[in-house]
Amino acid sequence: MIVLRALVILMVSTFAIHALAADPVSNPAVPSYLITNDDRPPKTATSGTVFTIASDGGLHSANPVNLGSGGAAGGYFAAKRVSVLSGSSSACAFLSLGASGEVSVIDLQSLRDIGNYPASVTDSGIDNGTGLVNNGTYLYASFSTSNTIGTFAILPGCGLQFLSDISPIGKHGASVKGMAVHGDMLIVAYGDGSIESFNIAAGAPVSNGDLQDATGRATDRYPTGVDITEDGHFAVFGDMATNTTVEVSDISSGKLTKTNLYTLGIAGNSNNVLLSPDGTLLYITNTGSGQVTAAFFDKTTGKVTPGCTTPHLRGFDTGWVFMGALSTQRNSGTGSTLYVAEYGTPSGIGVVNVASSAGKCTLTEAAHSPVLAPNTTTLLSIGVYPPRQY
Amino acid sequence: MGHGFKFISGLLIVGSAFLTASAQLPSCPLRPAPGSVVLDPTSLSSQNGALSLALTMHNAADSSGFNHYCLNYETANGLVEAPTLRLNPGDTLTIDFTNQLNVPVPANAALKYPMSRMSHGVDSPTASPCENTVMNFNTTNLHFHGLNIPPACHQDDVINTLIQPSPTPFRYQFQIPANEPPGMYWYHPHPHGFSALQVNGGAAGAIIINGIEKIKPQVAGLTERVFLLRQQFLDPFSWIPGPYQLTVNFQPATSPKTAPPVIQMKPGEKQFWRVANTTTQAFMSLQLLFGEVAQSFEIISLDGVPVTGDPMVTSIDIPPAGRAEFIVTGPPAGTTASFVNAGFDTGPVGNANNYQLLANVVPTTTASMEQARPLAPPTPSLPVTQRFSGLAAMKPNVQRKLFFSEAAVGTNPPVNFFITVEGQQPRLFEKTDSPAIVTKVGAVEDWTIENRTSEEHAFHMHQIHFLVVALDGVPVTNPTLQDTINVPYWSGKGPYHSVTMRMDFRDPNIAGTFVYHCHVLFHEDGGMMAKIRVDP
Repeated sequence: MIVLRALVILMVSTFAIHALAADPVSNPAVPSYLITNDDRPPKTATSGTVFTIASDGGLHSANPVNLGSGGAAGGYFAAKRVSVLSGSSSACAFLSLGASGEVSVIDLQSLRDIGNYPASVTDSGIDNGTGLVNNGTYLYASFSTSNTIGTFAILPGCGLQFLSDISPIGKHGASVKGMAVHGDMLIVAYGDGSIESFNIAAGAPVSNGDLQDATGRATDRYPTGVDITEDGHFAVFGDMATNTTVEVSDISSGKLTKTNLYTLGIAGNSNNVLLSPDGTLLYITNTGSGQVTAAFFDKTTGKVTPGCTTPHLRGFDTGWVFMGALSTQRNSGTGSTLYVAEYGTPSGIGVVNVASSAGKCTLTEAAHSPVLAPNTTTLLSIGVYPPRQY
Repeated sequence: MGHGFKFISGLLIVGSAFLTASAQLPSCPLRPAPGSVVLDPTSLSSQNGALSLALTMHNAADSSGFNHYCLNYETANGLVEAPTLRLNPGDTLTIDFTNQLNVPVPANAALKYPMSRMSHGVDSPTASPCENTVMNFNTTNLHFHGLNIPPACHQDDVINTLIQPSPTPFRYQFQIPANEPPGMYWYHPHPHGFSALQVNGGAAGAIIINGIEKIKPQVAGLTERVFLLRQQFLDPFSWIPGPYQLTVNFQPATSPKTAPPVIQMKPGEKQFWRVANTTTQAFMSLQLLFGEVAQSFEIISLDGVPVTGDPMVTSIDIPPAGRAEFIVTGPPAGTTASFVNAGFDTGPVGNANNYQLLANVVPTTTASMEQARPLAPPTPSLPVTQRFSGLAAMKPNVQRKLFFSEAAVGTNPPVNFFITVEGQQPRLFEKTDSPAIVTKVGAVEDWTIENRTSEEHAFHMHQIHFLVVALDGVPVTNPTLQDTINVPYWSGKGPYHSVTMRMDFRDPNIAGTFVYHCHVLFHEDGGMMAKIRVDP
């Protein structure tokens, strides 16, 4: 194991982690993609689909990439089944395969599956999917059925090497629902009201000993989605709640602290959260009412204030019924355009344009939204290349 | 209250045990095999103002993997399950109830069965069942659904009455109110967090309050049938329980996979059917088809209360826990009719509720009618004034708005289910909660229940019936008294659907703390329940 870790460190040193991937809008030569994890049912071969993002945010040329094994056909909203890596010499998307417990890798230069990588034989996400996050060095996979987090080393060319598992459990017995990573810190939300952080300096997560109930638990609001600010000062949680509720923890000490709770409106549920590339806006999916909310985020204090909310996005409850992950078109500023995974028949990608100035914001669903996801009716996860740079 | 069952008094046993069975279980009675003739449940009637019996709760898994939760009653011919209890208004019902559950706790219970987060404490068999705090897979109790009786231990309390496994019976004893409307009620377990598991396993029986022919003389002399529609899931411990099957008096209705149950009638005969939807989550839309043509039913009673007028319908919607009593005319000779659940749209995220043939209705002149029977002997009399009379003309003291809402963690459960008074923070039910609503005996209130979710819910009020006065704000022309009602799902556009109902707290008998909840039992177990306290 020590040898393997040394090998990984050596390999990573040749890797420019968080390389400055150019904003595709300012440098049109850099391709920009939106990748879906089509997450089809366990007994059918699944795929990823790669859309080309036009400069106006439009999605074109849906290219399916066959991944072999099946997905989980749904599950946890906050489990990100797509994790995108932008290295100096490689660009790839990791897609989890719930049925087999594998992670598939799509090379975004060739748009081909370059391999499916297994974790341990007992790791499985067949019930509610497998969430993924990466920090450029390691990829972490939260398996919903085995209730484990697997650690993979990311090899040159985006190959994966499984290292080990841990079996984290929430304060009230639940499994991991959402994860985020920043530097040496992995933060998880269990969906039972509790949260925990882990030190990942050595690869495998080691608890920081801060498992705790978030403030929202006292009023039956349970964190599920997680994001972390660019400077690593704050962790932001989106809550499983009947309204729009987020919580913020100061993590500057290297541990989670008591969360501050913010109720931002009546739009239902707030499982997924995503900070804008410039960190000034917090995007939230309201899967209970088919809406998207943007709130203002103070990067200095971690305070969240109400912003704006879309009407019910087109097709809600007449076609699609749930919302999954969010991504932004650009990796600078507000991100310009939001994409949101829409689960149902048909599945699609909601496209929402963002405008923000002088303490006000508007979210407007694009005329061509939603864009049909042609290869799935169970879409919960998307990712964008180049990814946000933190 | 004394313990130890010594003597059964005043029993009149009608009918016999099931004649066919799909599997012999060690501690539960036989259940009928598919394709057999549907028989009524064993029936016990009060005599001289009292009905006493002993029931024992057992569990067992059959050869197909279905978990049976059985309310066993010992007859001279052996065990039967969930007998029908027949009483007159004013009679006293005594049940010595023994909990013999032995349910293995699933591995990783908290992960696999989210409702088990309500399990807490340690087993304490010496604690009084009236004040027990232990709720786990082997805890149970009884709720007398629809009866307007006190919310007190040994009567109809489901909050604090928690009965642990013990050889010592727990005694339920109460008087049926003298002005209780004559009709169909039912009994079932109601331990919060585990109600769905136990009712899903079949633990449900009918209660008939005699005398309906006094109010609806058209049923006098008709053959009466009692049908309990149940639902059993193959894996109720799963986050997505299922697959499931409906049953008719315990006989699987799984056509075309198996032969359908058979209901025998004489050609063209009029019968009085008393149907209870005792499923855990199936919304029924009942029809009787001759070919593809839905026949008319004459509705006599809903939720145990005779309806006003003589409404004729071709389809009857019954929410989970609802009852409908109606006159049906059988098919002519040579024609087999279909008694069906026509299917029900429970909303974009609601559970599947598809068409299902419940039984073939077969005319026969040599019908095997062992358990079909004329109505019970006439009651001595019914009071001139029935309970809830005059409610429509009452002016409500208070208007309240409540709403159903949900918070999901994913496309599959667990889901947090809430019922909330407008202005309060949504909260999952806990046994130790303070009442969400406090009122007084004598109050008459109008409650509007909104459904802010994308699936159907079924509002149920303990202890009282309510008068349905408006749907989506539009007054109802022929209000009905019910204890359970559908609240339609929100379609994603327009205002939320709502039901407005008039609550009658005038009877001092119901003073105390009790609950209201969604009767989709997975929702109730998942938190969609709250307390009301009615002060004397």
